[in-house]
Amino acid sequence: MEANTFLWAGFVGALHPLNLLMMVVGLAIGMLAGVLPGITMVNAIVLVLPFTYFMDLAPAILLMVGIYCGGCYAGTITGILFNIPGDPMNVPQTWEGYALNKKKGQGSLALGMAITTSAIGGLASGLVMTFASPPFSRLALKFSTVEYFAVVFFGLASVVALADRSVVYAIISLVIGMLLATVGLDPHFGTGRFCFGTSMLESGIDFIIVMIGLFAIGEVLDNIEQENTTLTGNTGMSKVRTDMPSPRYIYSFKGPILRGLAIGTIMGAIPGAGAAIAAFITYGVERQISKGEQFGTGSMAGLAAPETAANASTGGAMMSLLTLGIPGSAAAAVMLGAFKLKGINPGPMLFLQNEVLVYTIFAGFLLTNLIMIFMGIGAAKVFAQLLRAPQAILASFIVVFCSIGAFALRNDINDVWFAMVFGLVGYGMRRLDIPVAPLILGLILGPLAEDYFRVSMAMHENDLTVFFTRPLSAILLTLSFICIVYPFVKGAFSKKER
Amino acid sequence: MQRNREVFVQIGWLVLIVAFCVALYINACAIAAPGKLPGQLGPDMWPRMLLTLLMFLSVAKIIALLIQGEQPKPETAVTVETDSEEPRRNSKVLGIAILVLFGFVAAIEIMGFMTGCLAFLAVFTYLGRWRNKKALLLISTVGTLFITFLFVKWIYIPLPRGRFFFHDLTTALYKLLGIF
Repeated sequence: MEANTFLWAGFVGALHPLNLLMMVVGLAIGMLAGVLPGITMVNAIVLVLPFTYFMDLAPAILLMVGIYCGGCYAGTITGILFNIPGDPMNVPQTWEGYALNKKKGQGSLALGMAITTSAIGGLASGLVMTFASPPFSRLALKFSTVEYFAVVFFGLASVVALADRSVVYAIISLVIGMLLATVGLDPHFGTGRFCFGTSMLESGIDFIIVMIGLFAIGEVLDNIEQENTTLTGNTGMSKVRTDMPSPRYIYSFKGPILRGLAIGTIMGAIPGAGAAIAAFITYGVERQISKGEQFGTGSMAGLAAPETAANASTGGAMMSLLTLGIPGSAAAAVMLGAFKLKGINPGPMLFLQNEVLVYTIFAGFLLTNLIMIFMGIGAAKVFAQLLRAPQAILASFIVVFCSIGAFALRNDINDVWFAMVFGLVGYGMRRLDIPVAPLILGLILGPLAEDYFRVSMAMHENDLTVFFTRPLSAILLTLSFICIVYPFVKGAFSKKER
Repeated sequence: MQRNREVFVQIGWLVLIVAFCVALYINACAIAAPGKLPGQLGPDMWPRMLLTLLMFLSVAKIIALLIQGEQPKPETAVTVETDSEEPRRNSKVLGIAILVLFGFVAAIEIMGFMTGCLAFLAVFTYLGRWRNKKALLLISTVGTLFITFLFVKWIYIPLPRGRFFFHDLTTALYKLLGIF
């Protein structure tokens, strides 16, 4: 009964004009960012973070939720129209959506299906988040630092299991991120680590600066090196419009949608996964399950399932963030920054001390996904025109906004220098095919892992067996071990077969 | 031949990583730990553990590359049709772009944000192969004014005003534009 009361209060809060405005603005920004290849949804959240300093926490988080949900969907628009996925999470949808457009002339229906399944994924995972978070947070109150370390370690290990090309490079990238996080003052002893006598490094390297550099600046450099001036060609549609599917038509794809929902929500909650991995895994599962359907030639199930999963992952990631204080995705990690700017730590105590705020976020999340359906209907037509803009102009403004975003975090020009340096690093990693996302994950989860580990050892007199004598920790560490070993075993078997 | 070159580039980077790790490890050993109790884990423990792991991984990958060469990209069972060819790359433009980026940051510090932004937008857009000079200058000017108003006047971010003469110039421009 109490939860329902809070949820009602949450809806009242979420329907405040400022909060509604932030949801709409966030969706618009997120869709724009999701559509523009030079800037991703995560970049957009990173860029608005410094500006949320001047807002209350609820509208700030709802702005970011809007960007998160809008960005998850919008990259599919360019995928369907131009065969250009806006983000890695939209790649499977591009394979099928573009084929539906070009080969079967069902581009308008594909756009409608994409927005509908995206909203379904977001709404359903939002409901899971709303009703599962409170009991889960009560369970999380019983966690000690040992269990928290195991959870974080599992998140780090999941990067390994989900690396596509080179597992070793994924781990190298992860460890480099964890190392970068050690730069600055040690939180327990206050001594400098890798500061080399400079005050610039004593304040540490903010993960937002690294994200701005690696994702945004690195992408700009990669694009400017290539000799294409605009991004897009013909859409293949005489008139870009979105045809909404009927409820009966949507129901006929209930299997792929439900599978996308389940996989997306679970993947979103695991720190090492996220929307892209959820989308790819769901696509792979659908291909295995589909009977006689030709994937790659325009399969509506192949579009619906990963699109559902991508937006369903947002609810899972938010649940992980709010209940454990562990971000389930890069976007959720930036939202963690917003909480910290306000001096609030997400985690189980949040549900005891700030219930109205939490339920306002839940209600806002649900409303955002509803609003997204209406905004998404007109979005395709608008963004199809926007993408004809010269890439050079877009890239220049992206760099300027990134620089302002980096500067505004601490009003320190050194952060802008760092962002440019990491831009170079991001470009280099792209050219060498070294994955960038694990580095960010290491940078965010590394300090948590270190802190929980050191406190656990201090409490248990450096006895490492404590991680295996406590049941939940033992299970998570065993799963982590499987995650780490599985790719190597799989690789060895593949070589044997060849 | 191309594959061998790629392998050696990767080995080169990995060797650099190992060398960097060795240097950092030596530095980490010297991290002070005032007030550390006997048996307590010090501030050097975690970085040293990570550096050891990173060195091990890098050496293992170097050995794997030397024995097996470049790993093939994983096959995808879905063939993706693309209308566009792989775009050509111009490393000269890239080099200039990197210089312009760092020049932009220096320009913000010395000349102030407004002046630096105007120059950067014009130069970087031209570098990005957009050659309509009149439109380029117009967009750079309008863009700079809009961004300055948005962030300085409405969002109150104290963007750098520059040093020496440029500080006074920026202040005068702000007064002229009604920013303050």
